Amino acid sequence: MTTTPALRVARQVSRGFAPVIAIFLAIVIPLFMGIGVVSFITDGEGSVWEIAAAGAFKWFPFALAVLLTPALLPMYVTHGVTRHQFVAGAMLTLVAFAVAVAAIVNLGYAAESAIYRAVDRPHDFRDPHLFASWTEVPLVITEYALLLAALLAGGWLIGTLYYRLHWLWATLLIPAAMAPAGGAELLLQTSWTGSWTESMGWTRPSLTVALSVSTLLIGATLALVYALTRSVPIKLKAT
Amino acid sequence: MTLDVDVRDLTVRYGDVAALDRLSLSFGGGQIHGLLGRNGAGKSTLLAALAAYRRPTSGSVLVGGEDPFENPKLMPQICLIREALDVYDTETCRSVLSLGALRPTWDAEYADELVERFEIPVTRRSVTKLSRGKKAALACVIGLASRAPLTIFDEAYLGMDAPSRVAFYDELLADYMRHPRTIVISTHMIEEFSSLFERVAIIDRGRLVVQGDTDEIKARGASVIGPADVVDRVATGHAVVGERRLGPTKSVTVYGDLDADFEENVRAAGLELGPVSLQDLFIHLTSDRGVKP
Repeated sequence: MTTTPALRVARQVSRGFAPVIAIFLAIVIPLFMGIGVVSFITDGEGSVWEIAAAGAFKWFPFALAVLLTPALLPMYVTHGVTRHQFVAGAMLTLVAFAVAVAAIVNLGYAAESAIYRAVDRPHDFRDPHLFASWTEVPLVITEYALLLAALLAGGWLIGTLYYRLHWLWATLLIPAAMAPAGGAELLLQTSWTGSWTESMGWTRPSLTVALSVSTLLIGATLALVYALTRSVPIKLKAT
Repeated sequence: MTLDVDVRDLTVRYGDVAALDRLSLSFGGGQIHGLLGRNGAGKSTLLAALAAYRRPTSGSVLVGGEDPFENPKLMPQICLIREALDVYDTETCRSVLSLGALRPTWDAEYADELVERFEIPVTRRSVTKLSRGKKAALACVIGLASRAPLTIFDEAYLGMDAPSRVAFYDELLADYMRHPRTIVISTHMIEEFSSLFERVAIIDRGRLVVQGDTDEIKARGASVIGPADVVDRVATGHAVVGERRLGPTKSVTVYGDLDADFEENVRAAGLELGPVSLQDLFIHLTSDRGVKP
C-alpha cells in the first residue's frame, strides 16, 4: 500500500465533508441544548446528550458513508487516484472520523455533566454502556468509536453494493451488509440494544471478546468494500 | 513527458454486446489524435479502458508500455475528461478544482487562469448550479490544467458555445506547444476539430476502420464528378464509399491508393476531381451503405 497517496486522499475526503459536518454540528448541538432546557423545565430525567449520541451522531455520518463510493470514487479516479488508494484513504478517514465523533460525544457528556452538577441534578444514563461516567474516557471513546465505525463500514458497503450491482441485488443485500454493524451492537450490548438484550436476560460476553470480535467484523466489512471496489468500472454519468 | 498507447485485440463486452471487438490501434506519444466513430461505435469504452476506468474483457491496453489498470505510477499520468464530468454534483467548483492537487502534474495557477478565461463562476457555487456550457468549460479546465502526459477528452466540450469552443481549441494548441503531451480527442464535431488532429483513428462497431496521418487519410479519398457512365467507368476497380446522383450527373467518393494514373484517367475523361473533407470521408466510411476499405 502506498501511504502518501492514501493520506492525501484521506485529507481531501475529510476536507470535502468538513463543511457538511460543521453544518450538522451547528444544528444538532443547539437542538439538543434546547431539548436539555425543556427536559430541565419538565423535570425530565437522565442525559439528553445520550439521545443525540445514539441517534443523530450515528445516522447522519451513516448517510455520508453510503455516499462514499458512488459520489467520490469516480471523482478521485478522474484525478488519477487508484481504487486501492481511494479505499485506503477513505478507510483512514472513516476510522479517524469515528474516533473524532466519539471524542465529541465524550466532550458533550463532560459539558452536560458540568451543567447538571451546577443545577444539582444527577447525570445518569438511560441505557447500559461500557462506562458509568464520562470520566472513563477510554471506554466512552471505545464504545462510540467502535459502534460508529461498524455502522459507517456498513453504510459504505451498502453504497458500494448499489454502485457495483443492479439496484435489486443491492437492496436485497442490505440486511447482510448491516449484519456486522448489528453484530457489534449485540456484542457490546450498549445503548438501545443493551436495554433490549438486558430485557431478554442476555449477558454480555467478556469485554475482550466483544471488542475483538467487533473489530474483526468491522475489518471484514471493510475488506468486502475493498473486494467490491478494486476492479469496479467507473460508470458513465447520465447527462 | 509524453506517453504512447498500444491497444491489441481489445474486447470489451457488456453482457452479450461487444462494445469493442478485437480492436487494435496505437496512439503515438506527443501527438494530437482524433478518435472518430458513430454513436455506439465504442469510442467511450475504448477511452475508458485507456484511462483505467474499466478493465478489458480480453486483449491488452498498454500506456507507456504498461497496463494502466490500478497502476499507481500510471494513473496520475492519465486524465480522461468525459462529457458528464465525473464529479458529485453538489461539490463546489472550488473543491472539484482542489482535487487536481492529487495529480503531480496539476498546475493550479493555470487552472485559475483558465477559470477566468472561460468566466466560470467558481466561488462557493456547486457544479450542479452551473449552466451546461460552464460545466463543460470546467471539465476542459480540469483536463488542460492536469497537464497529464496522456490527456483524453471524450466529447467534453459538447455543451460549450462556439466562441468558448474556439477558445478551448486555441488554449489546447497553445498549451500543447508549451507542454507537449499525448492528447486524444473523441468528437462528433469533425470539421471543427479536424485541423487540430495530427492523426486520426476511425472506429465502427467496435472495430478499427482506418488509422493514420490526417492528411494521408484525406488524400486517400477523392470525389469524382461528371456524366454517370463516364464516372462509373473511371471508378471501376476502386473502392467507392459513397455516391450521389443528380440527373445525368453522378458524384462518387472513391477511397484507396489514388495514384497519379488514376488522377490522369479522371482528367483525361474530362471529369472533375475534388478533395473530400474528413467529415465526408468519415460519413462514407462508417455509413451502412458505404463500402468498407
